[in-house]
Amino acid sequence: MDWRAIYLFFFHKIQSNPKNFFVHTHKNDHNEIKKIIPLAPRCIQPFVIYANWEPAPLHAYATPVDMTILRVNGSAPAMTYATVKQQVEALNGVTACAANASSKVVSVTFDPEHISAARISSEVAAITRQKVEKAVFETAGPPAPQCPIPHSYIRAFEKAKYALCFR
Amino acid sequence: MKKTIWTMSLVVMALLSSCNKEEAAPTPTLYDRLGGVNAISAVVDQFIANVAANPKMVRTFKPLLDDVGKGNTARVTALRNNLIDQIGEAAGGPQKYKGKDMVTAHKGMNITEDEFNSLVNDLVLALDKFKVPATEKGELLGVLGGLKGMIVGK
Repeated sequence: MDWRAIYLFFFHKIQSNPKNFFVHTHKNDHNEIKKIIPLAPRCIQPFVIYANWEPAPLHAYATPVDMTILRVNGSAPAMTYATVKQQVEALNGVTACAANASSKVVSVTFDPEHISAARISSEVAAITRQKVEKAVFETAGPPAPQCPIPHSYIRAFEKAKYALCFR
Repeated sequence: MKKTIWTMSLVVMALLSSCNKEEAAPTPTLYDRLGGVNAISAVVDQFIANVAANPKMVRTFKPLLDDVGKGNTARVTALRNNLIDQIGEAAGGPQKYKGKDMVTAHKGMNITEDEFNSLVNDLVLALDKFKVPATEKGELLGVLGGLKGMIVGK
């Protein structure tokens, strides 16, 4: 029997007989619990079906990464930036690094579970022996329209969807 | 009635889960030869890092770079995810790209040929870093180079 069907079977059992699956906290809360508990699976069920309607995209199987972009204040030789790239890439948790001597920008993608942006910043400062800060770009951006919904909301929704995808 | 509804839900879920097609290609696709999702995501990470450090890319990527500077990486994460999906599909991978088409995504940005060529150069540098064989590199660049007409000058 498909284990996904087993999962929904228990959904049905919880809804039809919640007393066997939940502990009553107080006798006065009994009626309130009986009203709320059966609603929970009904609210989640449509989302579970939506989450499993199609396979998860390719990027759901990739390790999530974070990014930091740093600007080196002061002058450092071009060779230093090559050293920065080499040494930062060797750090545990760093997935990619690019260092540009002309713009004095160092961009790093990293796994936040293994290393932090602050640690990377201190490493770059130690290698270049210059002050390092987050890069600010002064150029005017393109006139394209911006999405009104914060992207972090969209990402949180997608994470919940992939967590409930069993395909 | 409730039992009937739940039974039907179980049947629908079983049918949906059985609809997952197994793709068994007789010869390795470009996706397989590149190394699958881990290799593609590594190339994409390096590509994004190259682009962020490239002064020629500041104009077109400024909203994204500004957000990273403020500590908000949601936009760059969305870009990374879309690139992984798009390159994966272009290379013959199992999943499909569900983001905007290239014309819509780049509409109003007035991307110049110089900027596009600089972007391609960043991708080539990323592929070279991971020593992607010339055959696979040429195939991938050929597929992605076909998008130039949909991106430049829009």
